[in-house]
Amino acid sequence: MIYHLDSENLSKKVFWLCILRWFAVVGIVLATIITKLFINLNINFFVLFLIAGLLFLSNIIYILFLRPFLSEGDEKSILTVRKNINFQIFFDFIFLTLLLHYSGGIENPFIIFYIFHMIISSILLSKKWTYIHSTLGILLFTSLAVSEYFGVIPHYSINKYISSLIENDPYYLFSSLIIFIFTAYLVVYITTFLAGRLRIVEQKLKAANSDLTEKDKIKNEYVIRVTHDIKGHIAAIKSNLEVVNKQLIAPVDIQNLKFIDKAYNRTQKLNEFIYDLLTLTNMRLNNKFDKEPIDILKVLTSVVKSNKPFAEAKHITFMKEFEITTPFFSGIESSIEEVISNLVQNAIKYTPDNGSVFLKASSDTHEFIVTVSDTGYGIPEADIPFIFDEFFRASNIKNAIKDGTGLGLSLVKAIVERHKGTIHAVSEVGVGSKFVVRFPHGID
Amino acid sequence: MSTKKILLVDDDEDFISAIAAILTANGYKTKIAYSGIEGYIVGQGFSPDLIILDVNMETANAGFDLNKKFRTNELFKKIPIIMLTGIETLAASNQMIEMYSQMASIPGFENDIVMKVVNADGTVSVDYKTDSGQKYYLLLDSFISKPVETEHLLAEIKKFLKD
Repeated sequence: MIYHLDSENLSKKVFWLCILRWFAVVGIVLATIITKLFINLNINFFVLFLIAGLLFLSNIIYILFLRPFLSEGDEKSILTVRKNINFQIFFDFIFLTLLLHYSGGIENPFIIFYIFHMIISSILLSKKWTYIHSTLGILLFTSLAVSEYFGVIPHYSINKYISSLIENDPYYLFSSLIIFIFTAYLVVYITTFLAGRLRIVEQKLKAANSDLTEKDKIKNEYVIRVTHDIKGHIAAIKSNLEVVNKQLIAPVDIQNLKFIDKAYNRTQKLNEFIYDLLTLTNMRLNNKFDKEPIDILKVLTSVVKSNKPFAEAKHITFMKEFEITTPFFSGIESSIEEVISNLVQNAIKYTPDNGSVFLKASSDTHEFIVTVSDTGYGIPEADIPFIFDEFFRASNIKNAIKDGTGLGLSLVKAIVERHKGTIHAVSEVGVGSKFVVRFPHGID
Repeated sequence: MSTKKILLVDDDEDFISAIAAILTANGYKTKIAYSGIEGYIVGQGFSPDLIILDVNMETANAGFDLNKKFRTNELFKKIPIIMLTGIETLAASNQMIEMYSQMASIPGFENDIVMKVVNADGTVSVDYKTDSGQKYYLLLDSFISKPVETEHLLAEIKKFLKD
């Protein structure tokens, strides 16, 4: 079985590999300088610096090459990125082998660095490629050691004791090599095993997540169907009640009218509830998003105008402060108006008579911020994390103010998130509440 | 002022009879038809000044089809039509519809949602699929969602029936 990593992880990890390489370049340069300054060794420092320079250059090329593929998630881009990783690891092995050759070969303790790329391979690539790379690393190292031993290529010794040991004791050299090979494969076996396990867990989580998303979609579609059917009935009930309530055909006596009136009002409320539920569910189901330039001030003025009568009826001081330097925002106008209107309506509804409501808005090149604060009943601290949940109503007002659907803030949040914005609430019981909505400008 | 005649076409008898009562009380003469086919026949004899249509009747798009039929008939061509319906629509722009019609040629792409564009002059266009599965772009005078606010409906009627 081949475990494929998802594109997001792969592109993140390939850059991690590039960052590690910067450290490697710095490490080589530092180690060479320290060796040159403090340890008297007869090696060609120029070549070492040259290799570090080439490694540096190769890293720049990889980054420039990979950058355009970062945001792409298609099969072809992933394949290109994966090919590039193979390429990177191959050249890293070549550079490492060259470095070791010019700095003592098998005498150099840095031979252990072959193992790093074997581990990196197992994290980034499939089991097959990890073994291919590991074998390549082992082959390079073995041929370096063997060809230096047989004098095919020169051996630049850094330690005369180890050097003489290797030259005079071939058993030591070959057993060291065998131990190295054995260790390398053992490491690869362990890391690929662990990486494989992780990938299986990752896939299981992903499957579970998509399963949940699918179930949520079915639930939403069901809600749409049911509410849609209910809507037709409400339309009929509402219109028929209106005929009686307005006494269009025949007079109704005052005692009966009282009850008709109540039924009519409740139908109206149910109607609003259905509207909210349908809008919210539709928003969750349809990811289609059609934006238009919105005149922020126009929306704000409209919200103020439609809510003013409600504030006046409760003798609530309705204050406003707009500071708009970037006048247009890209989004769905009716939705943005719904967000602001909903917050203002809530503020008026949950503020006792003679209180005050403050609508503040600002828009600069960076963001469009709407703040609605009130001197209302406030939300208990324990309830705040749940206020955006569907059907949730704060415990302190649930019974006092009955006509709330518990959908308003869910809808607000869904709209805000659809516009890549954030919403934040602070509140204190008996003091008031404050809702801050931030919409970033220039999000496509 | 002569009494204006309004043709109502809706298969929800309970609903449309109440609307008829409200309109009658507001001084209009009304006639009800309960299906798209019936609406076309009744319309010929009644010669209305305005037509109110539901969408989903004997077929899912019977109302749109009837609208189309009236629009291509010389006698009804200029008569304003208000669509009064509970169907789900998706607010869209012309660009979005264009994009979707391009995507519609891609096999496996299904879009059954009625898309609605509010034009600058106050008219509404809908993009929907006819019963034969063909995409159709229809220009409407007015589009009102059920349940209706009576004041809103009356205002819309008055807008079209200027005396």
